[in-house]
Amino acid sequence: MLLNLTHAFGFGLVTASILAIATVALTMQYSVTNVPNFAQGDIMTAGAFGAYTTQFVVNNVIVQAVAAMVVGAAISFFLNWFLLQPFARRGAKPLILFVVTIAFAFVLENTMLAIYGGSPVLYKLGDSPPNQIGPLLLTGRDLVIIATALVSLASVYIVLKYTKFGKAQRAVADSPDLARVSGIDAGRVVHLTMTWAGAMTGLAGFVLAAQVGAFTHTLGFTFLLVVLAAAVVGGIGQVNGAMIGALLIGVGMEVAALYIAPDYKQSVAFVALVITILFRPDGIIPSPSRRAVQL
Amino acid sequence: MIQYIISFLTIGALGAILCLGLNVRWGWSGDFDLAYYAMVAVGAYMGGVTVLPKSQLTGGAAWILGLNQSFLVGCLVAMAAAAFVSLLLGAVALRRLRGDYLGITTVAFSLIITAVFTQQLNLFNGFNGLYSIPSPFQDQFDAFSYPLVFLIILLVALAIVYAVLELLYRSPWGLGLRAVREDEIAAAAFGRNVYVTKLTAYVLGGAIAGLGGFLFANYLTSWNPASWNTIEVFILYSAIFLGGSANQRGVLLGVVVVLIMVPEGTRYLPNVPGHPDLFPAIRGLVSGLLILIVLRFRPQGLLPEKRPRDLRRKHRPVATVAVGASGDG
Repeated sequence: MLLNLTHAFGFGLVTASILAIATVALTMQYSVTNVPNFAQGDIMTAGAFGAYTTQFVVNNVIVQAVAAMVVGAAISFFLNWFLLQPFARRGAKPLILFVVTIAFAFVLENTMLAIYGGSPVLYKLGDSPPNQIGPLLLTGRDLVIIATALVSLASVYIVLKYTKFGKAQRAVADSPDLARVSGIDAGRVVHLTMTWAGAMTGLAGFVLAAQVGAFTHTLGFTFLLVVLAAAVVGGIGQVNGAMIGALLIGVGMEVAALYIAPDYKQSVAFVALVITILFRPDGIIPSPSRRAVQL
Repeated sequence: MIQYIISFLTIGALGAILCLGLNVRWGWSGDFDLAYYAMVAVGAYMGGVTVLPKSQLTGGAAWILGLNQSFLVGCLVAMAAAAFVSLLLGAVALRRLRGDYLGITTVAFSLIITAVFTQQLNLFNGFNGLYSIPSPFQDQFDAFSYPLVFLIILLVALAIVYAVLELLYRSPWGLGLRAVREDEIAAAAFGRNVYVTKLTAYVLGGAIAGLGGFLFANYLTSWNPASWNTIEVFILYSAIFLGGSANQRGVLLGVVVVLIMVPEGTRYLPNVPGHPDLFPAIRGLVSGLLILIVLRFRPQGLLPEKRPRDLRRKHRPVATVAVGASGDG
């Protein structure tokens, strides 16, 4: 039983790594635009399809990962440039912007259904047999996923903490008006953040597809709710919180699967999401100003 | 030809009942609810097990109840059950949540319910669901004329739903509900209980969802977790947005366009061999695009809701009078 528990913890770490990339992207985007991007799940799917399609041209994992990021960034940029910004300029309420992201998600998902069809596509990366690393049993692919998450989270941390752009981004998240008065081009910051978050989302889709091996156009949608759970549990706008939320939800889901029917494991995340929204809407790390990127 | 017209009118009538229920939540109450199909499913299942005989399944799978009751009792149970689930969710969610958080919470709830219905074999027979649900009054008609009879049943149900809702819309409660939607603080200041008003609307919408779900299950004669999908609620939303949120006639117009004209229009597109998912994909695509286009260029919809000042007002609005007076002075 204890062995099972440590193995489940290992699976949980891999799930948490995938989650963390998507969650940090979501929380960054949410805090800057004040609208949760419901299309993020489908942008993940698009990234996965981007990597899948690239494998027929170049058989190189790095190139496929970059393709996923480019697809994600391009879609996210498009969403912001052609939909969210024009709506925001017309004074649309945040709820309407939220509806716009869902409608866009619907369009995106059905476009992928039209292109790739409804049967699962195979996306197999070469894998090594599991290695014993400490108490954990991880395959080479698992290690690559964890390393990808660590590198991308570290890059977010460094950019937010030490660059001028990171500072501007935090200022816009705190108050777009105050940021504008201080001479920050808030529109540009939002564009760049959306594009960057899109690239990370595409990357998250790529590692998710690599882990599950076969997927359809619905890959990202249910996963999005798990991502939202991690973001809300960690506290919207908190990069540290997003990492903790991803770890809690990811490990919690895999460990819970030992005790309940595995098909319920995503429900564990949804229950955590609902409970957090109802009883502690600011998440486990309450921030002084909600929905502002804090470090 | 007659059969063809009956088939798409049947789909339209079912969709209209579902959209009118959702319109109570979104159009009248302003709550962006994404758990609507959970209530539809609860109505379909509970109505189904009310009219079905006792489950004879073996191996742990079963459906609960199995009361072998008539169609009308099934309708009532379906509405009551869906209203009860709406009351449970609404009582918790509407207390504090609005906007995007309400949407996220309800979609999470809907996915949890879907998981339970799929996994609990002894509740509604898990993934296989209910089947051979008896069609209402089928024994009195032959197979050829029955589709028309069923359509008439649906149209009667739709007419009742429409009339009851129209009366409620014009009632003091309906007026209060719109006041709450426009400005919760102002409505509260005038003595409206915001929470109770919104919760009543949520439960009312749920009851209609339950009725629509049961009729849908009657139409399909079976109901299982593959029959509905949480995110499909967006097709209903696209009909409501296009027609005009809160205006019932607008909603019916939206249903005609989104649930009848779009699917019937795509029917004539050339078939692509080996791609059975193309038409559902195009329908979803069109629904999503319609929402984006309508929200961008005509957010009030084709037939917008009449604002209160348009009704029975003969004198000039107060604000104009005030501005005019200060201009004169």
